[in-house]
Amino acid sequence: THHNYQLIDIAEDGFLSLLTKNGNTKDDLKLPTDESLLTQIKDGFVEGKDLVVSVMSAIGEEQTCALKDIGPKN
Amino acid sequence: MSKLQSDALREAISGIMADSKEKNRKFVETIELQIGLKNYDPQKDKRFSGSVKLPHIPRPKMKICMLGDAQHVEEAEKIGLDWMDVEALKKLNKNKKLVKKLAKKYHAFLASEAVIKQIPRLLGPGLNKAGKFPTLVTHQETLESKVNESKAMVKFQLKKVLCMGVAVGNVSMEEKQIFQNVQLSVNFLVSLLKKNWQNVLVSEEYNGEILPCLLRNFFFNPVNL
Repeated sequence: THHNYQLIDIAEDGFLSLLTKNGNTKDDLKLPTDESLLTQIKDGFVEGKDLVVSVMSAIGEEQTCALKDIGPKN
Repeated sequence: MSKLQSDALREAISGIMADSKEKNRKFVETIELQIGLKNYDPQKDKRFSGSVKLPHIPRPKMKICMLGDAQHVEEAEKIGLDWMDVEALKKLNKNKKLVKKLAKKYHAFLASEAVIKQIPRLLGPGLNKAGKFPTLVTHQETLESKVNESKAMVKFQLKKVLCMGVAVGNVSMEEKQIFQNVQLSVNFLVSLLKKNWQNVLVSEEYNGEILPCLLRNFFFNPVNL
């Protein structure tokens, strides 16, 4: 399955804080291992961008697979 | 099956109540439940999170702020609840110090659906870092009921520290009420753990003091409300 979550925070220990559709926070997802995606997320977060991460889940495992900037375009 | 010994728990609660009368404070002391976990690796194991509504409100004086849309702001004014709208949040200008100050001012936050999505953009991660990210309030429920529900809720969330602490009562409550709150909190937390009671750290000593024997590891701290 595939879910989109808004990024709230990146914890010091490498876990993401995400906002779910029902307004709860999801804090159990680690930063992705893919280098380019990892850099995109970290850089975008530091720049204060409004980011949405796509999360794929299968057989009880979850992994961030894509990133989207939903912030207002200047 | 609950492994929390009722007699030991009652004894510990009575002890706290007696101590609080002995050293009379100028404020109502909160009773906090602290639980240590074992056989958990926060980096590898699945991090759990769960909230439970206690039968009795542990902190009645809890300060809550509504981050609301026009309708919720109006409702908040009617019930005398502190509020901020999007304009007020924009004025904080994502300033870390101001957001931290806001987080310190309140015990919890509520937010409208339209506002909660804008929190990361307007305030940054400050509220989340303080463990006070707002709870969603819809227009299908009354704000007053949500405020009371928030006051009665305790959240157990595994992050990188294996010690959990939640407020379970205060010294103005009846011992029976504290007992019910503790029992529900403990059993709820245990239900979240992968090996249930086997993940509960049993220690007889803490800071050189023998703990009240609640499974020999559940102990209480009266802390400032």
